[in-house]
Amino acid sequence: MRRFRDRPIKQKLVIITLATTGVALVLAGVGNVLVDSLLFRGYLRRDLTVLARVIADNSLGALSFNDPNAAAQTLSALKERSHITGACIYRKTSPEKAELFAQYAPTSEFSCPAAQPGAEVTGRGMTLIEPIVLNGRSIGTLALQSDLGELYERLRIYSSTILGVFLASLLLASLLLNRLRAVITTPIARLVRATTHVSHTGDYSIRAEKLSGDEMGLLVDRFNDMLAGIQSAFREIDKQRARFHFMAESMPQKIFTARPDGEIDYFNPQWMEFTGLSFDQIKDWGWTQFVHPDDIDENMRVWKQALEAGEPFHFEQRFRNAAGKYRWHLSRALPMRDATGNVTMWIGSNTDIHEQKEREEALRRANEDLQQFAYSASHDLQEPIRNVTIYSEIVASRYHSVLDAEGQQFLGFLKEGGHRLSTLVRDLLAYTRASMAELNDQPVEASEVFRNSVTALSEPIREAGAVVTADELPKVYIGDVHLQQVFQNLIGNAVKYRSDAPPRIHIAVQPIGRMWRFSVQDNGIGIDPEYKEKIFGIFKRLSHDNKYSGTGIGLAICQRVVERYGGRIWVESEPGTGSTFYFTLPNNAQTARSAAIQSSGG
Amino acid sequence: MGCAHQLRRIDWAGPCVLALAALLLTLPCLAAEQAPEYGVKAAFLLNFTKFADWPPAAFADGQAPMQICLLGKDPFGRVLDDLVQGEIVRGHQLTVRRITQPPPPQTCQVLFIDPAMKELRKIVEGLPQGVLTISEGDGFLHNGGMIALVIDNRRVRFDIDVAAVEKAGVKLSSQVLSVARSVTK
Amino acid sequence: MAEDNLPDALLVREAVRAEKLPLEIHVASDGEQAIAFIARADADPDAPCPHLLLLDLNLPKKNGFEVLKRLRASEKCKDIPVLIMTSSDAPEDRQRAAELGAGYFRKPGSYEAFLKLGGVLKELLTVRGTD
Repeated sequence: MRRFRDRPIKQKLVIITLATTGVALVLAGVGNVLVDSLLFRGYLRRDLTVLARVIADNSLGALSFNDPNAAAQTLSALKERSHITGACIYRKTSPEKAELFAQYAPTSEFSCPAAQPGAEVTGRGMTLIEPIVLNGRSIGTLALQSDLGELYERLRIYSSTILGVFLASLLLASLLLNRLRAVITTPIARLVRATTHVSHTGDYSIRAEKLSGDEMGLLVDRFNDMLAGIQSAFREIDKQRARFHFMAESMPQKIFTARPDGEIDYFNPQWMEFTGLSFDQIKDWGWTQFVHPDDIDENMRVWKQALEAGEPFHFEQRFRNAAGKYRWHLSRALPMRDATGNVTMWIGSNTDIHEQKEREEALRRANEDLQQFAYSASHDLQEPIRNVTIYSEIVASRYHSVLDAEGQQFLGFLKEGGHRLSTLVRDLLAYTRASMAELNDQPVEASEVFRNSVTALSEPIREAGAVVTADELPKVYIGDVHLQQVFQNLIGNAVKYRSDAPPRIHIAVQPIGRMWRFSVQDNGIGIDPEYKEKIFGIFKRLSHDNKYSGTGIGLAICQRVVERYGGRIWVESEPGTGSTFYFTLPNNAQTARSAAIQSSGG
Repeated sequence: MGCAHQLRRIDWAGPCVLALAALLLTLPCLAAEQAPEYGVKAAFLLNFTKFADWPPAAFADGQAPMQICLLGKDPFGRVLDDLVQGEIVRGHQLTVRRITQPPPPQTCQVLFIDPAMKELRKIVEGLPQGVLTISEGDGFLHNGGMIALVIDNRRVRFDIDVAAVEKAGVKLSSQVLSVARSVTK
Repeated sequence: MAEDNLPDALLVREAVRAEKLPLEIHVASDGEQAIAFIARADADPDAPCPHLLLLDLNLPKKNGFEVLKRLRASEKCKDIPVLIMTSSDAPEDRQRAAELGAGYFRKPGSYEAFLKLGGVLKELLTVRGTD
C-alpha cells in the first residue's frame, strides 16, 4: 500500500476530488434521509393521531352506550389501513381502572393487553394512546398501533434514490475531473519530462514549455532560468578549460597537474614530446621512470613532503629524454585550494635548465680552479716573500755599517716592500680561503662563535679598554669558521677605528623574513657616507696613514663570506658618532644552500 | 343469581320470618339488579343529552339549565340524580324534574315519559319544539316518540325515530344513531 | 730539521745561535731524506735519533705529516719532541699537529719574531729533560 503522498498527482487529484465529493454527497444524503425519516415519523404520528381521534370520536357512542360490537365495527374499518397492526378501546370503569372494551387485531401477533398500557410507545412500530372524551370527560382510551412499514418503505425508496444520485454524481464528477484534470497535471507532467530529459542527457540547452500562468508557470520560468544559468556556467567552464589547455600547450615549459595524492592527471604536449611516450604511459606515477637514478630518491622524498604539507614544491632533477639523454630540469609545483582550504590539485612546471646548469657547472669549476690556483699561489708566494723580508732585515741589522745613507734607504725600501708583500699575500690567502672552505648544512650557534671571536681579540680589546656585548644570538646556517671571520673582522675594526672614548661595541640580531639581521654597533670614528660601499672593496682603505694597521681586506672578506651564504652586508654611520655594520644570514638550510650554489659561480 | 334461589324457599310460615329476613336481605340485591337496568338507562339518558343538539329557542338563554323531566312514575330514583349531579352539557346545567301529571312544562329539553301513561300520543303531539322524548318499550315510537329504550338480548338498547327527532328541531349525533338498535326515518 | 728552503734553514741556524743552544743541526731537504734518517736510526742501533725534530710541512716527495707519522711509528724515535714549522696558518694543520703530539711554530714575517724560535726550542729541549 503506497503512501498517499507518493502517489502520482493525477491519482491524488482523482482521489481528493472523488473523496470530497463523495463525502459531501454522503453527508448530504444521510442528512437528508435522517431528516426525512424524522419528519416522516412525525407525519406518521400526526396521521396516526388524526386517525386515533377519528376512531375515538366514532367510538364515543359505542363506548357511552356500552356497545362493544359497535365499537368493534368501528375499529374494523381500520383494516383499510394496512399499516395499522392493531387497536384497542378501553372503557373507563373507575377513575383508575379501565378494561378492554373492543379490539382490532388483524394478525395473530397482535393482542390487546387487558389493562390499558402506559403512555409510552411500546412494542414494534408506533403506538398511540388517545383518550376518548365525551363532553370534556374521558370515558375511555384508544390504543392504536401502527407498524413502520410506511416509514421503512419510504426510507428504502429515499435511500435508493439518494444512492442513485450519489453514484451518478460521482460518475459525473469523475468525468468532469477527467476533462479538467489535465489543466493541472499536464503542465506538471511536461516539466517532469523536461527535467528527466535534462538529467539523463545532460543537455542543458532545452527549455520547458510554459503552459499556464499559475505557480506551475512560475516554476517553469525559474527552471528555465536555472538551465540557462547552468548552461552559461558550463560555457564559462569550457572557456576556462580551453584557455588553460591553450596556455599549457603553447608554453615551452612542460606543464603538469596532479591530484591531491600526487598522481599526475595532466601532462602538456611538451612532456609527450620530451619523453616520446603517450600520456597513458607516463600518467599517475609513470614519470618516475625518467628521473635520473641518483635524483629519484630525493625527488620522491621532497615531492611527498610537499604533498603532505601542502607547501610549494621545488626541486632540481635530471629527466631522461626520448634520445636517452639526461637533462637538468627545475621542477616547481603549487597547490590549489578550495574555499575550505583543502588542496584540490597541484599545478606544476618543469623547466629545462640543462644549458644553464652546465654553464653554471663550468663556471663553478673554473672559479674553483682559479681559487685553487690563487690559494696555492699565495701559499707558495709566502715563503719567498718571507725570505726577502727577513733577510733584508738581517742585512739591514748586520751589514748596517757597510752601507751608506742611500744604501740604507734603498735597503729600507726593500724591507718595507717585503713587509707589504707579505701582508698582502697573507690577506689574499685568507680571502681565498674564505671562498673555498667547505660549507656545512648544520646550523652553528652564533653566540658561541661570538665568544670565540672575543677571545681571539682579547688582547686588542683589553688594550683599548673596550666593552663588547651581544644579545642572545640564534642558530645560523653558516660555517663557524666563516662566521668567526666576520665577527672578528667587524669587532676588530670597531676596536681599531675607535674614537677617544672607550669603545662600546654591541651586537644585536633581528629576524627579517627568512634571514637574521645582525648589527655590530660601535661608538668609533664613523665613516663618511660617501665611502659606505667602497670600504667593502678589496684592498680599499680610507685612511692611508699608518695610524690604523691592516690592509683593508677585512671587510671584503666579510662581504665575500656573507654573500656566499645568501646574505648582504652594509653599513650605516655618522662620522664622529659611530658606525653600525649590518649583515644578514639565512635562518634555514635551503636558502643557505641555494645561495651557496649560486655564489660559487662568483 | 342468589336472589332467584331464595325466592323459591317461601313455603312455611315458620320459616317465613327467615324468608322475610332473606327477602329483606335480598332487597338490596333486587334493588341492585333492578338498579343496574335503570342505572344504565339513566346513563343512557345522560348520554343522550351529550349526543343531542337542541335549537337555541329550546333554552331561555345560554345559561339556562337543561331539564330532564320525568313524566309519570319515576323508575330511576336517586340514580339519575346522582348521575346528573354536576353535569354540564354545552354550558347548560343538567337538572332533573319530576312531573306527575301532564302537561309537562315548557322548559323540558328531555322528557322521559312513563310508558304506562295514558294518551301518550296526545301528550307527545302537544309538546312544543325542542323536546327530546324518551320512553320505554317498542310501541313508543308508533306513538310519535323519538327514542325508545328496550331490552334486547339482556342488554339495554334503544330505537330512534329520526324523523320525529328532526321534526322537534333536535339534532342527534351519528354516534348515537350508529349505536341504536334501529333507526327509523 | 726537515726543510727544503735554504733561507729558512739558515734562519733556524741564526735563531739557535742567538739563543746559544748547543745544537748540531742536520738538514734533510725533502721528506724522503727525513724518513730515511729515521729508518736508519731504527735499523742501526748505533744510528742515533735526533734530540729534536724541526719539521716543515711543505716538503717535496713526502710532506711533513707523513714524516711525523713515520717518526711516531718508529720504536726508537717515537717520543722525541717535534716542532712543526710552517708558513701555513690553517687551523686543520694546527689541529693535526696537536693530534700527532707536535708543537706548532708559524714561520713569522719578521727577523725578530723568527728569533723567538730559539726560545721555543730551548723550552722543548728542557721539558724533555735533555740539555
